[in-house]
Amino acid sequence: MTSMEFSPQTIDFTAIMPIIIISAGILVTLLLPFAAKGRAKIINPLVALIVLLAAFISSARIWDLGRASFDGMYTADNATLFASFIFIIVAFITVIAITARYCPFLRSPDGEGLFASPEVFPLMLTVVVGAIVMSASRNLILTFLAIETLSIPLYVLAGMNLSSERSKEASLKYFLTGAFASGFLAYGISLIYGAVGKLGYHAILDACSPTAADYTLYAGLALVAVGFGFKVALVPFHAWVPDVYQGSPALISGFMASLVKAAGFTAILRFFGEGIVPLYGIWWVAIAIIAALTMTVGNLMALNQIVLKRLLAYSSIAHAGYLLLAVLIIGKEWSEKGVTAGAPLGDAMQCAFFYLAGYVFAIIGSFAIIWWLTPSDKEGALLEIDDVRGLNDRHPLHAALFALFLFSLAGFPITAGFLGKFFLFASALSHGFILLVVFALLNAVLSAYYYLKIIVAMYMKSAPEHASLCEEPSPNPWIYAVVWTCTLATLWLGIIPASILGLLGSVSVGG
Amino acid sequence: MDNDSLYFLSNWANVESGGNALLTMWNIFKHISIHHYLTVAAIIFTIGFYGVIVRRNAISILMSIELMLNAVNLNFVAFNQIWGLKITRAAFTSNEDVLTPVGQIFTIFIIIIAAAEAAVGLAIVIAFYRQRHSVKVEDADLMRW
Amino acid sequence: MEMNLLDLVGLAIAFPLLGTLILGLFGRFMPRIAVSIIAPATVGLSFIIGLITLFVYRTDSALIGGQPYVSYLFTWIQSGDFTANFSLLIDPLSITMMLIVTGVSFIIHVYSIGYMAHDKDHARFFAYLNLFVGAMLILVLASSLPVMFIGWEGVGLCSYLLIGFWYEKASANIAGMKAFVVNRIGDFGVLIAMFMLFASENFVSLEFLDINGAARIFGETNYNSPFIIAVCLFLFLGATGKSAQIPLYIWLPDAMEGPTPVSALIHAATMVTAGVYMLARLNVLFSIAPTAMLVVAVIGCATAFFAATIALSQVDIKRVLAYSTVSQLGYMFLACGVGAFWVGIFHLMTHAFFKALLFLGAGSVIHGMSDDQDIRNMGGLAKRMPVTYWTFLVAALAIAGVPFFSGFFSKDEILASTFWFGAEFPSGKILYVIALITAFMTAFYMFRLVIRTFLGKPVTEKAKKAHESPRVMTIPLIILAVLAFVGGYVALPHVISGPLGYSNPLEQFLKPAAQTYQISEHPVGEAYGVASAEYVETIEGVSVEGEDVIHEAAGHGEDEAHHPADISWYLILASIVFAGLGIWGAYLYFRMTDWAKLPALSRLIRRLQIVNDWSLKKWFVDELYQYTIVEPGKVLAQISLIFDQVVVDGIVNGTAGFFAFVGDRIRRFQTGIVREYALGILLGAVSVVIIVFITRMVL
Repeated sequence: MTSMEFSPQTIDFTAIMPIIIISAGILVTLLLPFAAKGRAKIINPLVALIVLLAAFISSARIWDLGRASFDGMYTADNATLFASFIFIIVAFITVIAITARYCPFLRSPDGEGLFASPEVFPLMLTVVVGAIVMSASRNLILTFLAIETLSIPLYVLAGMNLSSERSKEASLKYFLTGAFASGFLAYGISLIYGAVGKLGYHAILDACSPTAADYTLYAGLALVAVGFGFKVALVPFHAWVPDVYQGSPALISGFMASLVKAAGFTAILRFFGEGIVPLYGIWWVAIAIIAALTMTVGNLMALNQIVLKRLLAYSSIAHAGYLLLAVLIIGKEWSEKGVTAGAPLGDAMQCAFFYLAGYVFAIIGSFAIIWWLTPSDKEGALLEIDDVRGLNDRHPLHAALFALFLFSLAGFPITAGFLGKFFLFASALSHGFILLVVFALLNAVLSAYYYLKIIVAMYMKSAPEHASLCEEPSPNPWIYAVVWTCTLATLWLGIIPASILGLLGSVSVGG
Repeated sequence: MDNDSLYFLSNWANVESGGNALLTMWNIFKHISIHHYLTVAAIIFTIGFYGVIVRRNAISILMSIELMLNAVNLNFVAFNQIWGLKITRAAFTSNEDVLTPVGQIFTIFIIIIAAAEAAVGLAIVIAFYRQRHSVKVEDADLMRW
Repeated sequence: MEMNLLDLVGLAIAFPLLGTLILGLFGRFMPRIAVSIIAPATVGLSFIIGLITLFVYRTDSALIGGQPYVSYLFTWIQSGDFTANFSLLIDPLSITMMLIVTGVSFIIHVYSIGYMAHDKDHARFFAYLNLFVGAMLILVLASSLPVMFIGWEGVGLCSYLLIGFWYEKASANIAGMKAFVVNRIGDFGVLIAMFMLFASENFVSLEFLDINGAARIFGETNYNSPFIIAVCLFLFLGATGKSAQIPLYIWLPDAMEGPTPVSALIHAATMVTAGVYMLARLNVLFSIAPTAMLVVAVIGCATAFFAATIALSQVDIKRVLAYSTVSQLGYMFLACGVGAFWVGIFHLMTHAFFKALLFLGAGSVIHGMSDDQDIRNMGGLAKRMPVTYWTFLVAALAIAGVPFFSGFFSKDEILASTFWFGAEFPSGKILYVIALITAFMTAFYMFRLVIRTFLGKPVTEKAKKAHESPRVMTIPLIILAVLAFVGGYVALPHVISGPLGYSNPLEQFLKPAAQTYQISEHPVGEAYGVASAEYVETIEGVSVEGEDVIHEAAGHGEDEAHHPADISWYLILASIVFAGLGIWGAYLYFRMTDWAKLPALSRLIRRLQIVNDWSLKKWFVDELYQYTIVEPGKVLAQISLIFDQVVVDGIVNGTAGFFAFVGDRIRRFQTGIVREYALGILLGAVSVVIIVFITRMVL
């Protein structure tokens, strides 16, 4: 597993084809149309879209095949591929939405200020590569590299709104805390290496036993958990989230809140489920405490929040708390049954992915609406609940779609959010996490309050008299790509989840 | 390592090498175990995060983060001295002490990542400085609560 | 699955939803008249489908004896061995509910055309109202708990949108929020119960038929087990939220901020009865948890009493009716709690008629009084609004329990059931006594309302200028008045119907779907004073397959026929007497005290006092009455009100305030300084390491 002797035979090119394609795309978008001016600017996003499409197809082609490369270090099993689909779709719609601001001739008269630089496309593609590798990695070296590949471009993307002080600040804060946390992650990995001598998940699985008193290993895995926890914003490693999501351009915030969280959780589920699951008895208390803290603190902090983007940021923290239940379920299930390659993932993984899919589309949709409501000469970072008062009277479509996404986040029936919560909590309950489920449900009740505050403002308050930020939403028709995809996904998952569940049912532990 | 044990170590090494200064040094190094490396790494790591928390200058914080990553490097190289040997022996049942350089390779990756982070980080700090004319992290306080 | 005319029932849900879609998207561009036609028409179509369903169901030879029919629409959730179909359950209970919902909704839609005639936002109003009907139909027709939950949340959402419909009013917004948050607490209960059933190995699916079927088997071995009690109590928590029972009733009186037709439809006739419906739907589950049933009965009885005392002193016409609704819902829960599920549904039906009528009448009064709701400003409206007066009077007589009106029959059934419950379960007699006193108070506050509003002389200029409402509003009143009168005749008490050779059609119809289920070893039937040998026989002869709920043991219905006729007559007499006392009391009280405050009247009375000796004596009697009954009543009402406002509201607002406060404190940790975030990460990392170490050591 940890053998470093790569022979060409161990490289399965079909498994890593999506990575190769996107990497090629990164080079092309970075170098080729660098000097493009005027209408030729469209080449850059176009290449990005084509590359993403090709990556999607090449991922779909290895569905169910369970291809692995580099001695199993990189495993493109169905769980990876399902996560990859989410990443690619999210990136695809985000690129489309950004294109209009990048190419001023596309009916976006005043979008010059934002995303004027062509680097945004290679940066986004790099993030996607990082995310895919993160979800496929079975080795801590690769995981660490993938996390950094994902993070470093994001530090830059957060500061992409060149004229905004808040965007710069977000970038700086994200970078400093992110680098700090990756220091912990790396230190943790070094301790695990010191204790076990190997870094492959399966090797760790074989080597660690719950009876040995190997405190180096425990410290190591605690620190690795910190590193992961930072990425998916668990309390108390969450402090960067509201500032960064608020300061970044709304679409990038949505991109981070959806894609990074999905990638982070896929990696967490892999590491905890396939790597250190024999130590379940040792880490579950810490994870359970963090889960309870995360959902509660996230919701409590959101309660009095009036800035929309911060509110969504806090709510995304709470969602990470709910998702941690899946980690506990998987740990419990697999520590009892034992992990066998090729076995079905079990409903824990299934409901984790279903929840993730529902959450991803609701959160990116919400941020897209905020982006949509922000005139390009203003900062979305300042958009408050008061600014969307009476939105229904002015822009009923915006209001209706925003309400739909918020309902999904709050977990209302016929949206994806409801079924996601339903599956997740039911599964947790049947695995005996009664107290945590009650806690999570109480939190869900609490969270309905602040989601509703926005809906109340949109539907039940009259428009503010003073000129507000979203008086005239930005004329960016391309944002439709995002909002309609998200609407479709939210309703589809909520009303006919059978299709996706069927897909997830075939997801299995790769060999 | 406290002063007493250091004194004991050097004294003992001095006696064994018959007063030769170079030999004395060698004897001392020979007896530095992996734990010494780990301790140094832990100290550097601690200095690193201490720096992140107390320094106000973003550049200093950046340097402190580099310190943390270097501590990790030290850890990996040290651990590699144990595991590199053991794994090879187990795998090939040979008597040759061939190192499998997992830890060392990771070290190289970390160096690369540290470089990338430094590059991006400095760029971000400069961009911030241009707008705010300050590199103090306290000045990045537009967003809170 | 072969097609059946019953599959049409899906259309009944589709029509109102289609109406929402049309009105929501294009309503603002449509002429007023088009909106006014589309909205009631969709609900009318649903009502017609309801009638067709009833007809087909009654004539379908395969469905004799209340067999349920499941109309499959599509597979909603398929996950491993868990499947939830989006399908509709058609059985007597759901058909009854469907007819009540669509029928009353249709009438109220028509009424709303007149009531909202001058509102600029009437398209939005009707879109919400249609959405509500669609969601309510999903709720009552759903074949499984998760699908019902869609409707459950949907009606909550609509209720909340409609309470806050006039968003210019700040109080409307606050009331909407309150309703929603309180309801979420209830929903939390339903969700927990759902998860518990889902996680339990004894319950294979969340289909109602399966739950009841599994409960029947499970009940044999786990009668009244803590698990079942917990599930039932969590479900009941949901019911208290939706149906405004103690302790979650607080949102309903505030919900009166919405337009009056909304109060009539949602907060009186349909949505608030969802909790009662759920209990009746899961009758077998509740029947195997007598402890939970007792809690239901006690809470229901307490709510009925408590809300009635508050209603005594209210001066806002809609708030009187709101507390009255809470009280009547308490009656329904009392009925369910003592095992008479079908009686609960019966009262639900008559209540839907007369309470909708009361609210619509109140709406007509408010309309006529130019939006004044204070009954102290009214008086003498009977002459100016004759149709409203007479229809309102019919409803008041019905709710007070005056013989020959619908409310009399249903309330009498509840009282009788409670009495027979108390006959076997001694402390249950307290419930009967309290319920009887509540009946007295009901009559009292209702006639206080009638007298204050319609009789006497106009107190204010507004009252003098009051005018009758347009015909589009009065005709629905008349229809409802007819229903409120005849609604009770579908289920005459056995003691009356028996000798007439006339069976009780509603009970016959509902019994298979909503009756107490008897466990052979634990005959709940003993509560009905009948030897349980019969049940044992019937039960044992029955196959307990999961899917047929229908082969039930003999319900209590037939046993009731065995109740001694003389006691039944006494019971009827008791409820008549108490209702009469209430009306008489109200009359006496208001004639002598309130009217006396009017200058002209008081002069007259003073003169009468001097001239006539008996009048003085009369005054003495009245003062006695005043100090023995009315004043204590007032004090009680005052205490209840204080309890309501200080304790219950205080707890709810306090909780909300607490969370807001804590949230605000916690937010201060977010200082915006990066170094402190790093410190947080460091401390977090250290804590995680320590927790892991401690766990290991404890291990």
